[in-house]
Amino acid sequence: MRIYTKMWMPLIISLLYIFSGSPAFAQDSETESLKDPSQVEQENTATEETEDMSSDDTEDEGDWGTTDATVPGSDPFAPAGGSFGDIQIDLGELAPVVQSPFSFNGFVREDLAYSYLKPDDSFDFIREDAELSKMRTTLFLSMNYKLNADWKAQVSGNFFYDDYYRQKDRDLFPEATLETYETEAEFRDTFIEGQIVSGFGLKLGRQIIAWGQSEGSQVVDMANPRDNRELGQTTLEDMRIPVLASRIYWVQDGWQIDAVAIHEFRPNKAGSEGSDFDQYILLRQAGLQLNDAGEPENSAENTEGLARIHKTFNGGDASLIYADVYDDEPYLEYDAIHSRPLLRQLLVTPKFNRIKTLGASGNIVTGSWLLKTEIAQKTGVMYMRNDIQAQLMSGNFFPESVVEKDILQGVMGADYTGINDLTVSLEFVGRQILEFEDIIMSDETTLTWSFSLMHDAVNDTVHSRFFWLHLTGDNGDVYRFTVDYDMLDALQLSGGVVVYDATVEDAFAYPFRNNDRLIAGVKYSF
Amino acid sequence: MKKILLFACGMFVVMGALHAADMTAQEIMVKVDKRDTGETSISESAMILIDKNGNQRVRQTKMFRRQYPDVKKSISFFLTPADVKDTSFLSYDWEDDAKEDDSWLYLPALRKVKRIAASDKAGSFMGSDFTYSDIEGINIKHYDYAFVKESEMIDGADTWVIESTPKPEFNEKVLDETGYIKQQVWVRKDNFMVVRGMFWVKKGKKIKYLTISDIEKIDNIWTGKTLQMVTTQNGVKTHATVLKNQGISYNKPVEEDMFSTQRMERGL
Repeated sequence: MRIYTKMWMPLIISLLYIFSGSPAFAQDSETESLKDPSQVEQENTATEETEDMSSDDTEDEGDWGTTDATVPGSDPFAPAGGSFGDIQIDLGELAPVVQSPFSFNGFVREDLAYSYLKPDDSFDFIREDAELSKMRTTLFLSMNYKLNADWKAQVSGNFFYDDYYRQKDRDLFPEATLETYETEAEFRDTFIEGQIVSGFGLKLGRQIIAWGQSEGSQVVDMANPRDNRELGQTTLEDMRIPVLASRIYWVQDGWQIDAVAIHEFRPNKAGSEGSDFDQYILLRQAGLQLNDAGEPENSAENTEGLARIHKTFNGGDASLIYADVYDDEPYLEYDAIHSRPLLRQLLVTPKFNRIKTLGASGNIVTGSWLLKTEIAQKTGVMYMRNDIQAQLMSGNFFPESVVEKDILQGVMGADYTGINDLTVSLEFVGRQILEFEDIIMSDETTLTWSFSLMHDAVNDTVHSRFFWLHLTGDNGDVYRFTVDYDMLDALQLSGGVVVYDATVEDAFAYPFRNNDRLIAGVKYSF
Repeated sequence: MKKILLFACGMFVVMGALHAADMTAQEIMVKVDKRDTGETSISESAMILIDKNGNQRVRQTKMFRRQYPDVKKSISFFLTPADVKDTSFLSYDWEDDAKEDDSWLYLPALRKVKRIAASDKAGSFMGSDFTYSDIEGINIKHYDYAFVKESEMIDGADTWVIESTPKPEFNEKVLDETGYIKQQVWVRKDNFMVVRGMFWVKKGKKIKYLTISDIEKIDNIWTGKTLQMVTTQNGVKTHATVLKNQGISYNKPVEEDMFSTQRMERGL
């Protein structure tokens, strides 16, 4: 029963929502209120006839229950600026957008989350019961200045404050949790960009460089770290973290060549100690002590580099990509052991290794399908050894904890858009460790996959999405179903549910399996 | 790909007046298709989306178009409102029938350009009553044409009323690409300009009504400055979109790099 509710409930809800045409139901009932009784009677008759005819799928005009003459209310061919029902459209009030060199925009967003399950008592979560676990207010501001026809500058920043920690009692939380989740202020895309000569451009500053075909994986999309603080909950819009970089590009006849130097190291943002999504909770539970991550300094010698050759052709796109960058996800080095014999406490330090990537990506359109692929070989990827305990038992208190390997990674994916306003996406990400050794803790090959349904309804005012992420091997699944409603252009309401599932005790998601959340939000854009 | 362009961000352009008393419906539509749209155009438009309760949403766009010997390229940038600002849509409309059109959408929130499958064209364009196929046009070779009426007066102008139905061999393709099972247009006899249209949408059995007004010559090219598309279902109006041209110029220089995915990312 648990499996049924955990795994399938969000999918069933989303399928019911999408395929029942819930917006259409609302539309029918609301539309009735616009009609006078005689119209309703007349159209009920017409509808019955229409339904009868639709059953044999005839496509003559009568199926549509109307002709020009039967449309109630005003003439649908009335000139623009005239009437639409009782609506008067004063087009004269619409002035052209003035292309001011300076523009300012942003949004304010309030996000709430209710964790409706009690966490597993066997893990040291600070949250002990079902409760409101997020009350975050976010302010995003962006200022843009167009220097001339070819050059522009942008400064943007993001600030959030989560009142949950004050409400709960800040003293309960480690400093790392408060730093990670309670308050954050950072520059986002802040750059100057322009064209030096026709087709040859430059972009300097904090920026996001999104390459490749995959929505979420980092097979060839290596420039920006990811925000993984809330496992599976971060939207694609907020997933990539901008970095300080210099980018030059040349565009000509469907070809584009990019060269990027990254001057700032930023690791993936991950769940911290004490939080609902502490990524090292299994290690802490085992009594290991974690040092702070040893991040590379921002120096000339640590500058990261990427290059891409991109070609657009009829029916598809293709890219060849090279990257020499730090892995944004740390590996763990067991670099010392306490000398106190009774404690025998291991010190573990997250570190970051430089990896080189040579890869290609491409897509092809065929009918309603967009087929996507990526492939890459990476060198310098660190993997944990599974013989650390054996080394300790043999008296080696400074064990070799990692082994460096080359890997092959690949993405196969498809988007299907053959049903109006619905996009079905499926994506597989595979990885193989080359020259695999038995001392490596990971499997030789792994497969992660994601599936999503995205549906827009009511003239793009209702957006629903079901997202299912299967983590590698038996590491668990994340299901997310959300509905966004554009109440006004500037005002969006959101709601949804996030469900975690893991049955194997050493699965990455196992400690988080009771961290399901009901989520709600409101966003005002300006 | 030879196409009748029903909608191009606020402009609707046709050839100058011709006399064609004995033309067939097919020949008339070919004349409509061969209209002079200029080698390039730059236009700004307001798109007003109106729901059944009268609530209005306004999107303002700027579009660049350039005709090459083998392809027509166009790119549209959304200027307002804030939640869609800097979204852009790029399309290559190939003259060669064997080539599928190419389309890309840039969503600034993702900082990523996404290629769009051809069949997406039947979907709503940014929530409006126009589809992507309305924007990119239809292939005239995929249709049979017949007169519904050889004369009907519209706003004082004599028009032909012509019905377009997909040829049997293109029926499925047309349905996939447009969502319409048939179309009917009113073509003015004095200038071959389409001034009205009806579109039968298979999904939901809707009918959409197009009206084109504020017609004037700009840079010596006939242009409809206001388009209105009303969607009805079971005879009840459910949604409408008005597209108001707020400025258009023809045959001004538009650089090639305007029509690149990089330009979508860079924005205006």
